[in-house]
Amino acid sequence: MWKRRLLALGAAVLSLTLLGGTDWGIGNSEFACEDAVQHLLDCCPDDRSIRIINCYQARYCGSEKPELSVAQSQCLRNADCDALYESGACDNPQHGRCGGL
Amino acid sequence: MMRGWTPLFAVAMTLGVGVGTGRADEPPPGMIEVPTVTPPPPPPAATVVAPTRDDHHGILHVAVDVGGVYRTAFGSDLVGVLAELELGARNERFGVAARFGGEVGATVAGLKYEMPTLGPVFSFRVSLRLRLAVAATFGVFMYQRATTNTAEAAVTAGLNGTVTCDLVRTRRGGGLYLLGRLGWSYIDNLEDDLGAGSSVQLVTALGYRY
Repeated sequence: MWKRRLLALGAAVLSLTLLGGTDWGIGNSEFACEDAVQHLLDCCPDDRSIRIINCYQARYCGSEKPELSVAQSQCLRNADCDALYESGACDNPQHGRCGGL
Repeated sequence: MMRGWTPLFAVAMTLGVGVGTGRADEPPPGMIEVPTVTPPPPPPAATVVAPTRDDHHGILHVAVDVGGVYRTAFGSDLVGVLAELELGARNERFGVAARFGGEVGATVAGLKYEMPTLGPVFSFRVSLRLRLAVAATFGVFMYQRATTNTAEAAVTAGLNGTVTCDLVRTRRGGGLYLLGRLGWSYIDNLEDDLGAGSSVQLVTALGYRY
């Protein structure tokens, strides 16, 4: 009997979560931002300006957004290291090569 | 020397004694019967019956797969390695099992992720070496942030189809096989968007089925 209840409880929690009943999950722009930051950390010799980027996307009722938009993040992630360095993106990712996006 | 009927009478008496007193299957007096040994009938030709697997009763199904994964998620390309274990039962044509899987990898940029999953799998044998399997997966997608070194997670649910081709077969129906899989998963996301949370998975792996 307890096995059925446990299965039913698990199924209910999973269903509610998958149907969007909670704010638990991964943000699309957050993931893209983190991916771009990872690429910048690998490319840039000085990562101090990169470490301060905030990629956090608010859960629940907050409105906080990542400092890099999805378009900026994808642009930075797809650029090669030389282009990022020469464009100044290593010093200021938000105003470098992909700043206008 | 005998003349006239005398010799014939003597012969007739001799034969008459032999026929009248003796039986047909007895040797004539003075002769020793040598018993004839009739060889036993040859045994029936031996037929070698290979032990066959029971078609109707299931046997324990244990399989292990190890391979590479390509996945798309949140607009990024991810590559990783996968290991999984299947436990269940199968017969000659059909099998059902629980699949426990683990996937680790990274985006092309280097953002690390993990994805443990479990779910039911139903397999069908389509030819001597080819099997088709459909499965549902439930799991968690996790990745490590580059900015804070903390992890984020989301539940996932999906479906996939697998084709396996046996490279080496054992008598019991097991063997070493090559595996190809196409799957789709929904990763729960803050936008609650089906498109943003869709993840397509391609797998190539080697497996062993006990």
